[in-house]
Amino acid sequence: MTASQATSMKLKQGLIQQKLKQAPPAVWIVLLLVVFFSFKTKNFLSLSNFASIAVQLTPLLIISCAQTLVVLIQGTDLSLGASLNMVTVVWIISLEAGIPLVPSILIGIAAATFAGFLNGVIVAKLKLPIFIATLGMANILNSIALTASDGASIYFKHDIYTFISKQAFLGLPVMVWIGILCVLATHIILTRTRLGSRIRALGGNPEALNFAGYSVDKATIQVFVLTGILVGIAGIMLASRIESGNPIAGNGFEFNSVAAVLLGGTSMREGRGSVIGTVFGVMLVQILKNGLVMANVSSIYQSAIIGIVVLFSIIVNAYIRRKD
Amino acid sequence: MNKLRLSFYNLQASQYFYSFMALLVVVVISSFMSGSFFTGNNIMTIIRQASVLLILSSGLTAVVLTGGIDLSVNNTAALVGCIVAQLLVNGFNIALVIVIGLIIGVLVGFFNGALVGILKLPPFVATYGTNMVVLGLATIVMQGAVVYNLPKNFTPIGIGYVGGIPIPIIIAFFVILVLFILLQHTTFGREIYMLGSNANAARYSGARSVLIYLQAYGLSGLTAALGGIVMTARLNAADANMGNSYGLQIVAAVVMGGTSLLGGSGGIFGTMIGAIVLTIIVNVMNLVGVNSYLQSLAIGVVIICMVWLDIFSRKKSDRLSKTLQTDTKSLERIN
Repeated sequence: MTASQATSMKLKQGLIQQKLKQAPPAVWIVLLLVVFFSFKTKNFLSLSNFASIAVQLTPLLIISCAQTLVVLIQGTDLSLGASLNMVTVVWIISLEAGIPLVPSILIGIAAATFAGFLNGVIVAKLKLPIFIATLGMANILNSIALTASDGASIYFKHDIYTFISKQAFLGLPVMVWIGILCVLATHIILTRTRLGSRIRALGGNPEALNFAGYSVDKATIQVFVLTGILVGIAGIMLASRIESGNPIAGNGFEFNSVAAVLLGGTSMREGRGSVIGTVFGVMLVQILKNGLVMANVSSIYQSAIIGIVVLFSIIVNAYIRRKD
Repeated sequence: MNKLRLSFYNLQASQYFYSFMALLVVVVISSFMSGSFFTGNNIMTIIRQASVLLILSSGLTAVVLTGGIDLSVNNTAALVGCIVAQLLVNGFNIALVIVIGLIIGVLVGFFNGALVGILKLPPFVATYGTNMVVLGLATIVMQGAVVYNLPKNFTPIGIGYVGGIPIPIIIAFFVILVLFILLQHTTFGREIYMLGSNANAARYSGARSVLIYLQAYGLSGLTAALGGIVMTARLNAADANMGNSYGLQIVAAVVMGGTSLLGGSGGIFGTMIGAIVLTIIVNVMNLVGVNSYLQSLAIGVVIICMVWLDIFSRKKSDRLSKTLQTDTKSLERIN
């Protein structure tokens, strides 16, 4: 082994070590939980259980990708859950009205995209804080979903549901592959495109972006449109899983996704973070839920346990950051 | 100097002016929508309905003025309500139970304040985490059940009258009065405003700002607890999810009243206006018989419009204050 080879090896090792150090605590907690639950319960470590966890977490995974984008520009999108509600209702109503499959899916995604666009315009042009703009939008979208569905689930028989949520492709349901594609797409947009670097700049130092000749407004609107598209896809996934249009099925997703993003180590202050971290955040929440159920922990204690784990990892994360 | 101070007060007054105009517009439209809206009886009903929201959002106003946010208010209220109900049902003394409830609220607030002030967590993140834990604790306290039929001497806090005025209104009035004095006429209040306006944040030493954060979040916890107690007395029952219906409305009330999420500007009267506007919308739509699904549409639109109006007016007053400052500077130069 020559000296240069040895140094490059060392460099590589150092890089890997650095990466490991930077990994959010969620990664370690997920590994810990998997080991813990597989000892504690019988069927946890089976392929079928993992497939069922994967199907359960896919809508939240896609929503959390969207939330990552918004958190990176130092906001939280509170309209994601309401938008999800609207998409499931709009899609199933379109199917009911006799619109063919593909156009109906596009209508559903377009509705969420338009809502995202409106969010972007309100934030960029009217200068409302993201928190308030999306809170107002959440109320409006919920109202649309509830009015259109008359407050109840809408059922419509179609083969597409089983195709998306159950049909296996290379060992995993189609839905999981779509989730993975969404994660990859968001990751590539954030790391490899100009829009990605603008999003990071928007979270870190928007003035610099303006100096560089880019429009902050335009970048903001693009972020929200992207968010809308992702929510649209997540809505189709969710409706396929519950096999209906439901005006309240998405409630809580906006906050669960915030938890996932924060657990994944994306910072609310300086535009740092990644979608990969978010994936681990989602897995942490879902595996914890699944494991607690399989370990027969009473549902009374579940939400407190999840809350304490979330709060604990947020604090650990902040502590590690400060040491840097 | 005097002139500057005068213009400062004028600007503050003008902020409330826009919120107040929005309130007037909502009142006028509501009066046109329903003949029974602008009657003494109904106005009393509105204020009574608004009182819990008012109490809950009053302490939050102090937190938002520091540039922070407290997302745990509604579930802190629920936790306190649940504990209070459980203790009462088990025969504890009412006054003692209320004191215990308030102390628990303050402790939750201190915890938030410590996370924000000492660990330097972003307020949104810290209080969001606390919110999850507090909700979980409330579920454990209730063991998944609902407690009702509280003692006869306790429920008047929520449904009783003194001299013809509902007790919740009297409590809300006192809370607002205390908050007004605290924020506008004490060193504590001035420090909260200064901490919130970034320009002055640097002037405070670490220990001092930690103390202010602890106090502000503690105050928010205290009013959350008080709101929770009133809520429980009014419902004559408690369950772990009773905070859900308030949720983010509490934050909306504060921000609609012109208190900036960036901190440093706004005040308790704005919050009062915000809470009343939110209550009026629901009230008038119920009077007219509008489908409840459409109520949230109206609420969403009004939230966006009112906050936009506030930001729009602030831009205008920023320009005004800039010209005022340059005027005084040029005056000084002339002298």
